[in-house]
Amino acid sequence: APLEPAVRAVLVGFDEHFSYAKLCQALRYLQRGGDGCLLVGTNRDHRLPLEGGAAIPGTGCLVKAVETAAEREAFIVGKPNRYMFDCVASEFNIDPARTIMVGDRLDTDILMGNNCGLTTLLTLTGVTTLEEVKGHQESDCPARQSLVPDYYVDSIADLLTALGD
Amino acid sequence: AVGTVDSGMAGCRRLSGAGLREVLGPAQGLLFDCDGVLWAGERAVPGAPELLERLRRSGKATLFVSNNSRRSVAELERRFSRLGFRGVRAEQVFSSALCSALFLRQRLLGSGGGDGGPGRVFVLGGEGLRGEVRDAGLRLAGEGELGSGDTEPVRAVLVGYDDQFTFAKLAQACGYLRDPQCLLVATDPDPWHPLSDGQRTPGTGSLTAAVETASGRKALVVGKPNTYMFDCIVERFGVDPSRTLMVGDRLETDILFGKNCGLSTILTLTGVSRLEEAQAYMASDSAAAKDLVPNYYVDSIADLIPGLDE
Repeated sequence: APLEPAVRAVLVGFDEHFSYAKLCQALRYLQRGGDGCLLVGTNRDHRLPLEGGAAIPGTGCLVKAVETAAEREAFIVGKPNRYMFDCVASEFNIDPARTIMVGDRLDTDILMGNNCGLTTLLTLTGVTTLEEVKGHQESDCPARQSLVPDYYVDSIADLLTALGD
Repeated sequence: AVGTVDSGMAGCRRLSGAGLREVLGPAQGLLFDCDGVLWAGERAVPGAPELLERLRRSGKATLFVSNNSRRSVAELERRFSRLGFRGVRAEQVFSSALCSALFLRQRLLGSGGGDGGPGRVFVLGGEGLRGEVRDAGLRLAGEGELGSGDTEPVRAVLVGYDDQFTFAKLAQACGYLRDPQCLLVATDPDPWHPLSDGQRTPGTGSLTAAVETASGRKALVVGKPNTYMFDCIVERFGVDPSRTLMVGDRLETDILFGKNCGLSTILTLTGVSRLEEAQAYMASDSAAAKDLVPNYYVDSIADLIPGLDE
């Protein structure tokens, strides 16, 4: 397919219709545009978990394919990068010291919260187990330490008891 | 006096004149990459067929080692002939398709198979690659299967150049790779390949990156710069590395392959890598970069002809 003259960015998101032809087209735009064509990825999630331990490939796989072919790094919008927090903070008057980030994934939700100076709260209704957290907590590695939340709850419903009528 | 330690780094010297005869004279054989060295697209590099003919007459062995996993060896043999290269036999040609099939045969059939037999191979690639895997005596898993059709387990996922790659096939591959016994193998690491119009097309390396990311596994890469293809060559022909030259156009694969196998290397400038890139690697502080510097370079392999006896 011929290249459209006005294209100045390649945006990689979750695409269950991803194909070699689309990868090829993305590469052509990036080759043509050089620095004048952005390469952006919505997030780097490796897998989207399904029930029973199965998973489907995540957006991160598609981003990696484009980055490898183009030999350049994408700008990643999603967690754990801070861009989305910056969007929220610029629209609403957020004081990180008085804001709590609630999530179920250590390497996206909690990491972003910690990186942005928020108080972080892990809920155990999702992909993360307490054992995993303890493993990171006990590790010597600073990168793993930044995956540890300030607090955890079994479920966000547990927060109800702290709120007045 | 304190002297500098010889780093053993290659010197990236232009091969010409007396130097040419000094290097080619003692060589017993030459390994050639194909794309960008012998031909570019459907055009033979001018003088390349004559060079191979002169090498043959000089009694030097010529072998071909290509990361391109699209074509079977039989197709490559026909391609040589069609582009004007006389007398190249299939046994001289080592493609990553062939060597990946040999690798899988070794790993899946060699040990006598595990429980349930050697198992099947899920191939992400075209008919050339699939044919080589079949010719090695292995069975292929079909696309779109959900595991109910055939009871023989899939024991390897092979990622090659696949211009029919889809999200669905990526998901299918990941399903098989949940079994830690299932191998993940890639034909080559190439991130892209040049087309004749100057554009680039994504290579196996980009597809492998997707499978690795989704599965959390690292692929075993058969092709250059890894040395498995050289092992295949040595097994068939018994080559002496110290008397063999590697000729290629891509620093990160061909030249590093030569270095890894103990061969002297010649970069030809009719393909992917530019002389400036080799010089940049030479000037770099990184030890890894030094391994990408060729011993010699030529503008085209036709420049080697004067180094041979009449």
